[in-house]
Amino acid sequence: MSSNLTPGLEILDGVPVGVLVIRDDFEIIHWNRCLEEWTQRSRDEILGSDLLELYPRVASKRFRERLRSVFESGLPEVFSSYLHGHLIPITLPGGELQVQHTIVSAFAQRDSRRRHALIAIQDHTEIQRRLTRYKEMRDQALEENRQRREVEAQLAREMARLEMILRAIPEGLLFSSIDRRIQMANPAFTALTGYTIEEALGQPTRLIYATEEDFEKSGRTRFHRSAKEDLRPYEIELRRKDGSAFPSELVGTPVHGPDGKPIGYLKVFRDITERKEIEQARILAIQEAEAAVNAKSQFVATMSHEIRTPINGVMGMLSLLLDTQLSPEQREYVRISHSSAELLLTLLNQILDFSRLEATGLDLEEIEFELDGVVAEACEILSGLAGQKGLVLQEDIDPRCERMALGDPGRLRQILVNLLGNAIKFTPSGKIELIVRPIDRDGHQHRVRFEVRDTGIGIPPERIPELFQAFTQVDSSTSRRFGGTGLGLAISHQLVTAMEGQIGVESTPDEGSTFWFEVDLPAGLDSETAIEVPAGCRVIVLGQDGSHHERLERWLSDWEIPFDHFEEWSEVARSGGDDQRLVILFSHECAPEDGVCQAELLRQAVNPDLTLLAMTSVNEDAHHCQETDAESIFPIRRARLKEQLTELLSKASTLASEARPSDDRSEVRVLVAEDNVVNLKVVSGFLGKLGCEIVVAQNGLEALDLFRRGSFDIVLMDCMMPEMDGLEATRQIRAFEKSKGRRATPIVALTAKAMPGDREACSVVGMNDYLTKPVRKDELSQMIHRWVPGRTGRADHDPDRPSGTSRTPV
Amino acid sequence: MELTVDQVDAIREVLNMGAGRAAGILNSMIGHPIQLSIPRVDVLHSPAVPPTNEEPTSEIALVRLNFSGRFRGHSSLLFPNQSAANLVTLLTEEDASSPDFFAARASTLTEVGNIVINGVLGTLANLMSQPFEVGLPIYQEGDYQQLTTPDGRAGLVLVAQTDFLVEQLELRGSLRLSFEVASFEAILQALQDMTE
Repeated sequence: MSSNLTPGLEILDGVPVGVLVIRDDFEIIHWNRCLEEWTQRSRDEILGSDLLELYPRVASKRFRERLRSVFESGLPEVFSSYLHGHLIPITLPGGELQVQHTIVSAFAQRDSRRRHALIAIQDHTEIQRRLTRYKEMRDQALEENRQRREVEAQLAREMARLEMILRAIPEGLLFSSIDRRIQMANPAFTALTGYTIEEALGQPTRLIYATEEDFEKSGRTRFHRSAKEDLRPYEIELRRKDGSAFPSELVGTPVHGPDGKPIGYLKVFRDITERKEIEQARILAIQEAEAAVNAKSQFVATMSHEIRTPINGVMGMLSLLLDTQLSPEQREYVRISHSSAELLLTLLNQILDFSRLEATGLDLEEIEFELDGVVAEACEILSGLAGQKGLVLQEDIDPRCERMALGDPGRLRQILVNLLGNAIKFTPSGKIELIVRPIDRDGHQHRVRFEVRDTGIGIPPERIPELFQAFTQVDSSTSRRFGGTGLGLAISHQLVTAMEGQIGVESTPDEGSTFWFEVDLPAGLDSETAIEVPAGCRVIVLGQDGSHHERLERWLSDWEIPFDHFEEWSEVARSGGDDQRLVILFSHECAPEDGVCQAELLRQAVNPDLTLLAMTSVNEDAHHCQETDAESIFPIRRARLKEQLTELLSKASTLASEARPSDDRSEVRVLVAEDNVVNLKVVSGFLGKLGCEIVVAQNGLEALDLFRRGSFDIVLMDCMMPEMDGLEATRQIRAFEKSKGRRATPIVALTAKAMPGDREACSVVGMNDYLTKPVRKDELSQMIHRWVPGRTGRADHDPDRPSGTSRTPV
Repeated sequence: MELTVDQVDAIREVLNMGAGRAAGILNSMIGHPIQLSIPRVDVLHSPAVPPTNEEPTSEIALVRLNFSGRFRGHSSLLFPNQSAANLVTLLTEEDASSPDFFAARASTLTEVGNIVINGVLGTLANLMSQPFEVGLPIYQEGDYQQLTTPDGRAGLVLVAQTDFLVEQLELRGSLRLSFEVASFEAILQALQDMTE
């Protein structure tokens, strides 16, 4: 066959498509160059061949049918290598078969009845590769799209939720941009301000501020504060759309973008009108309550003063009366009157004290004090009462207790007096012990337990819980039998609680009760000083070994006093030491008569310079001792012992170097400033007994005038006086002294007021000490002794000595 | 232009004959018994409005041929995406997850569309002794709305629901023949001549 059968078909050599032409008998009449390349078969070899012989696959039914239909209908057919397989398999360099897309079209030669088919084979390998790549990209894009939509949907859900939350927040919420324009607001914002969200959006936040100043102030601070401060709500007045203002609590926080730069500001605020009103009402209520409390407190203070003054008079006069010549019957009446007045004063003090606690609460002092001193004072106060009932009052302080403690000694004493008084009241016979010991030192530092044990009537267990309540006694009949206000325990309970301690009681009916309390008493600064023992003096402690001696010896060691200890008087005599002044401390364990007797013997036998100091825990013995030549100390107190020893030793020293002091030594000159006639008489009476020279002023001005003109050893100054009160007078006296370059004269306040703060007021103006009226003789004596040492003392023991000169105009 | 019931029946008859011929070819190609039937024919006045039994929003695959001669217009075979994928899997045994599937799908559907449309058009031409020229098939995938409104030319559209029943698997496609109005009147005339 020749190519001239198909003139013009050479043109197909130029196309990049494999083209062959067959007749309807499948003879190949054209094979283009592209096919030659693909199949590596030359045109000359192929032309005239039968397609079916060359590629027997074409003979298969699937090809033949379709090729036939092409020849019959003339419609073009498409053969995909996917569906049909390959009409002409063409191997790619890699060994794969080329992906083909074959189009078969029939045509007729003009000069021939035979039909021909043109078979065009396209290389779809590249197209397929691109399609695959496109599909992958498309799938990826679709996936990304899907993910984006998912994210968007998620975002939409989040936004919806946020919207719901914003709706639900009852606080007004506002987000503003950097330029302070409202970007977002919630329905509560509308409810609070009256602006709809649409109205608010885009507006400056100035909208809600009540004043231009607030707006500017908020603007200045909003990005300068630290994040922590931002969350602190503050109160500010905001304004509604209708112009009305309302108080609000607002918290603002800057909002930062992902890059850390501020993008706006979030404000949350609420209307606090109601809260403000409640607060206002509360402040008002508190003010009213405070005013009421103040009035009550004022009343109590006034009552305290008013009530104490006449009792002061009664008791003072009775004390003076007791010192006059009386028949035994009269003396007994006066004594009963005096003790009744004392009891009345105690009751009043308790009632006033309780009212005061109720009215003003407690102001606890924290000062250094001697623990045993406070214990001793409490016992002393009640020793008389115990003695009257024939009760033994014993105290036992554990040596492990800190000597100096830090706390409120007055209140501590008050508790002890209450508990001891209570014990004495309800103990018909037997003894009362006061035991002080430290407990649990590791856990609770400086915890001290006080126990008051009695052998009294006891308390039924079921009544114990009520004991510490006000106005409760175990049985109202007991109060008739035993007396008292029933406030003592309630006050004690309040005081112990205020000291953060505990109080309680253990009791067996008919056997006795133990009232106890525990408080923290931190150790105070122990500034104990040594006592100098003059040369030629020898201190001897005499007596059996026992707890008293143990204590005594420890004290003496503390004061650095060397001493000898003997058990018998005879040992003292044997020990010799003729040339020495002997200071002998002997305890009550030797019968006092015996002791004094022995001492006299000793004095005659060994040494006339003998100073005796008897220590006793029984008051009567002390009196007895005083009637002899012996100094006595009762009860045995560290502070008092030190005081007394110091004096004795200094006296001994004087004795050692000089003659006995002469009695003609000038008297103590006392300026008494007091406007109340009764009080003045009482004080003057006592001072007279103490052998003092008295100058009286009736008010502060007079006192100042007298002070300027005269010279005084001590001034007793009433605080409340007409014309010029004691405080002002003291201030001026101090100023006067300063201007004259004189040393300060001791000034002791005399006042019926015992309210907290008085002592401070007195010390501020320059007073040295403080005496609460009613003034007792012994207290006054101690006071004079303390501030004018070495000038009085003997006079006290000499009732026949004439009273001091008095210039009182009364 | 409203068609009478008889006219619609006649058209459906002619189309079914063409489908039968196409089925024969497909049968011989793939060696599986395959039946093609056209149970329903709708006449649409605008190509944009889908017939009631077609889901308008779905993604479709489409093979389209233009024809000219006595009749002018274009014909397309539409498959919903899932049907198209199932058909390709069936015919080529190519799994839908294979990387070649997309290429296989395009060329396979092109060929199927070509066979079916050629079958129908060939039958029509033979019956009416009116030869016409047929172009080469174009394959497209995409949104129904986009693909079914290829141009703005007004005309009538014959929409023939085409069911493929292969190995108990029912696949549904839709054959559309769009004629210019004049061409359609010629067809009706030819049909009338044929039945008289």
